[in-house]
Amino acid sequence: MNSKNSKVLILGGGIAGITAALALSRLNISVNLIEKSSALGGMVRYFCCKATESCQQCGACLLNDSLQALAKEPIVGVHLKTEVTNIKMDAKEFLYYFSGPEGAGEGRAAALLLATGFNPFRAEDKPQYRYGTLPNVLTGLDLEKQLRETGSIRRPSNHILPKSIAFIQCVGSRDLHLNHTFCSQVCCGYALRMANLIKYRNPQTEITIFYMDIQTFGKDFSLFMEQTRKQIRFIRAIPGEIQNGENDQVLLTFQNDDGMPSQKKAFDLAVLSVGIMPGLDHLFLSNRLGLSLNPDGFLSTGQGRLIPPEGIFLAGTVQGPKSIARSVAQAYRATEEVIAYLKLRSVS
Amino acid sequence: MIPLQEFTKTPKVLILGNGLSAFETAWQLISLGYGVVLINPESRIIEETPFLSLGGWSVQDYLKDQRESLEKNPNFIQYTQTTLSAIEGFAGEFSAHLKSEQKDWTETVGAVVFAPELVSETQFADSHLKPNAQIITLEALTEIFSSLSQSIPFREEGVFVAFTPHSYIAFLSGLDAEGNVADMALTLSLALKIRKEYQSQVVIFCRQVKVAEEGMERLYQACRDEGVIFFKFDQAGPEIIRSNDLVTLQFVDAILEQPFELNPDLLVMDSVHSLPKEIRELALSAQIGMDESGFLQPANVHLLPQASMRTGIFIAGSGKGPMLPQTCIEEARAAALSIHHFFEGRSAEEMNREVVVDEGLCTICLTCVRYCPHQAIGWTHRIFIHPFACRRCGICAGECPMDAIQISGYSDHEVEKKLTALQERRQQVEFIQPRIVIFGCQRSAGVVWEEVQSSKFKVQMEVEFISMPCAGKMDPDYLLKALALGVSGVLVFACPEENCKSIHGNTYARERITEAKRYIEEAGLNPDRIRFEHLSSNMVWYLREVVEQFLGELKEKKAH
Repeated sequence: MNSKNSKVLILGGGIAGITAALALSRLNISVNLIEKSSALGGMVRYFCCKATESCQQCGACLLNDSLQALAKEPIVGVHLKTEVTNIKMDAKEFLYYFSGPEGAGEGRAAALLLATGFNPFRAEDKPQYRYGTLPNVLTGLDLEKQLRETGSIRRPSNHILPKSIAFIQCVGSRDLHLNHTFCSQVCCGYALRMANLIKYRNPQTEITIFYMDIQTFGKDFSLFMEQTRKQIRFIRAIPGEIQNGENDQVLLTFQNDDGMPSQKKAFDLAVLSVGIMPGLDHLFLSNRLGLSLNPDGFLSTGQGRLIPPEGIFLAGTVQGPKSIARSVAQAYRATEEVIAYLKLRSVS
Repeated sequence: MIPLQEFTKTPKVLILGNGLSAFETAWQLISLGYGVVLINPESRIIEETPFLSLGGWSVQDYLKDQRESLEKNPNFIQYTQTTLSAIEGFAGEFSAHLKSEQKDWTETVGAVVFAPELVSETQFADSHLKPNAQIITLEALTEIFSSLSQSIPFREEGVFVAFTPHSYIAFLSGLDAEGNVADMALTLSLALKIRKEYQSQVVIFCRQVKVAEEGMERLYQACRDEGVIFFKFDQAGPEIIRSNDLVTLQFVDAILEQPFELNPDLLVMDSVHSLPKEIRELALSAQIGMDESGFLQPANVHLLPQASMRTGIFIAGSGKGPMLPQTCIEEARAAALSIHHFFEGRSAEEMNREVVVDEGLCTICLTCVRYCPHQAIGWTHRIFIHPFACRRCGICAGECPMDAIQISGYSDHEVEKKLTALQERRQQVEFIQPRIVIFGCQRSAGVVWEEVQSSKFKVQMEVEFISMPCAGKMDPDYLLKALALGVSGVLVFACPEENCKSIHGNTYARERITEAKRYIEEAGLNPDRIRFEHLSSNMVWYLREVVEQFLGELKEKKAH
C-alpha cells in the first residue's frame, strides 16, 4: 500500500482545485490533488473562447494558463483516475484511503480543501424539451464543446449552419416544479456570450433568447447589454414545450407577455441553457465529514459563512453555482483560510 | 546593476476604505503577520446592507467585533478623516503621501489595497421628484430600519404613514441602469420585512429580478409567497406623476395589456452607485486601471481576482461594482492571499537575472518607462527595472529603440539563434512547400502550439514556433530577419483584445506589425507574407485554420 502525505489535500482538479493548488505551492505548502477523471480541468476544459472583436470576459482561457503553471510545480502531487474511498479525522489530521491506477493507498493531510465541482442539469429531466429525441435540441454545454472544437455551430440533423437559433434560459434552474429554488448564475453569461460569438462569426444567424430575468454578470454589464440588445432578440417567456417542426426545425410553444394566447415559433436549432446542480460526491462527503448540505443541495460548512469548521475548506461550485471568475476568487479565499488555519495550528 | 539590497519589501500594507471589505482585508493581513495602516476618508464606518437575511449572520455585529479586536492590535493603525494624495515608488516600497486636516506625511508601505465603499446618488433627476415623506431612496429606508433596534413604532407622520395594512409601498428598482443583485437583495429583504411586520401592500417594479447569488431566489419566492407583487417592465418604466401630495405611477400591465395607475403612500427608489471622486482620481493618477463604467479593475480576466495593473496595488470589494457583504468578505480574503503571494514571492536575485538593461546602449530616452503597463521602470542617472514590480512581459524590450533591454530566454540573441537554426535545418532537408515561422505569446499561442504538437493532427512540418513572453515583446526586426533567411511567411499570434496579461501588449504588437508591413511593402516585398492574428489559449481549431489558410495562400503565390 503506498502512502501519500502532504500539508493539504485537495479533492477535485477543476479550475477551483487547480487554482488553490497553485496558490498553495507558491507558498511552498505541499499539496496532493486527487481527481477522479483522467484529466485535469473539470468542466472548464469543455468551454470555448468567446472573444469576438474583443474578449467577452468569460474566463475559460484561465484554465489553460493554470494548467501550464501547474505542470511546472514540483510540490503538487497530481493523482488522476483516483478516488477517495474513505476519509476521517485521526489525531487532528485527515486520514484518507484512495484507490488509483497504482492500486490502493492511504494518506494524511493537515487541511482538506473540497473542490469537487458541480453536475450540469440533465436536460432529459425536462422531457417537454425532448432533448435526446429531437436532433436539433442541444444544451449550452453541447454548444460550448462544438464551438471549442470547431469554432462554429452546425445543426446535428444536416450539418449546415442554422439560420435561426433559440436559447431557452433557466432550464433546471429557478424551477419550482423541480424544487430548484436557486439561480445557476452562469447561464445568462454563457448564453449571451455564445449568442454574440455566433453572431460575430455568422452575422446572418438570427438569435432569440427566451428568458425570465437577465442576471448581471461580468464587468461593464450595462455596456455589454446595450451592444447585445442591438443584435439579439429577447422574449420574456419560458417556452412550455418543443415539438418537431418541418425540415427538422424545432417548434417552440410559449406565452409571450404581449397578452396574446400562446404562440408557436420555429427555429433551426434550440439551445437549452442548463444550469449548475450539486455534484455527485456531495452525499459521500457530507456523510463522511459531517458537513451539512444547504437547502439547494450544495455543500455548506454549516457554521454560517464566516468560520469554516476545523480544517475543512470549500472552493468553487461545490458550495453553489459560480462563474469561473467567482470560482477563482473563491479558491483564493479558501486558500487564504487554509493558510490562516495552518498558521494557527502551528502556534497552538 | 543596482545592488539588490537596495530593493526591499516593507511588510506593511496601506488599506483605503471604511467598510466591510477594508476591515476584513485588514483583519486577514494582521492574522497573516503584516502591519496594516488603514485610512478612512471619513470619521465613521460604513456599515453595508444591514439585516440581510441571506446568510443568517449580521454584518453589523461581524464588523463591530472585528473592529474592536483590530483596534486592540498593535500592528493595526487607523487614521480617520485622512486621504491618500499620491502613491510614489515601487511595489515593496511605496511612498504613500497621506493628508489629514492637521498634517501631511509619508508612510512607506510594501503594498496598497483599494477597498473603498461606493457613493450613491439618487435618481431624482427630475426636479419634481425631490425626496420627501412620500419619495425616499432605498438607502434612506434601509437606514431608517437599521437605526431602529426594534420595529418601527406606529406614527401618523412622514414615511411611517405607509407602514399600515391598507397603505401601498412601491419600490422602483433598476430604473436608469441595469440594476444589480446588491440593490435587489436590499429591496427584497425590505419588502419581505414590511410585508411580514406591517402588512402594507408592497409592489416592486423592476426590469429584471436579479437573483444570481446564493439564497436570492429563495428570498424572491418568499416575497411572492408573502404577497409582494412584482411588475416587470421592459424598456420604459412606469411614469411618475406628482401633484400636490399625491404620487401617481402610470404603467401598462404587460400581461393584461391594460393601463394602470397606482398611488403609493411611499415610493422607494434605488440609486446610482459610483466610486468616490477622490478614489477615481487616485486610481487615474496611480495608473491602476478602471473599467469603462468607472469602477476599479479593468475588464481583463487575467487580473482576477484582485490584481490591478500596477504590481503591489490590489483591489478588494465594492470598488469593483455593487456587491453583497458575503462577496466583500470573499474579495477581502482573496486580496489578503494575493498580498501574501506578493510578499512571499520569488527573491529579488532570481528576478533580476531575468531582465537586463545594457547601460552602454541605453540613452535614457524613457520609452520603456512610458510603455511599461505595470509601472515597473524607474530612472535616476540610469534606467532600472524594479525586480518586484516587473512581470517580465518584455514590452519594454520590444519598444526600446536601442535594443538595450534583454529578457533571458527571449533575448534578441536567443531569438536569432532559433531563426538561424531553422535556416541550417532547411539546408539539410529540401522542402517543397513554403515555410512559416510563428511568433506567439507563450501563454496563449504557446499553449495551443503544445496541444497541437502533442495531438495526432500535427501541424505540418514546415511550420516553426518561436515563443514570446507576450506578443508585446515582438520586435519587427525578427520579421525582417525571418524573411531574409528565406522563410515564406511569418505569423504573429497575440491574445484577443482586452485579454492581454500585460494589458496592452497585444495592441502594441498589432501596431508594430502593421507598421512593419508598411516598411516591407515600401521595400518591394509582399506585405501579405506577414500576418497578425488574435488567439486565446483554448482555440486550437483557429490556429490550425489560420496556418492551413496561410500556407495555401503562400503556395498559390509561389505557383504564380
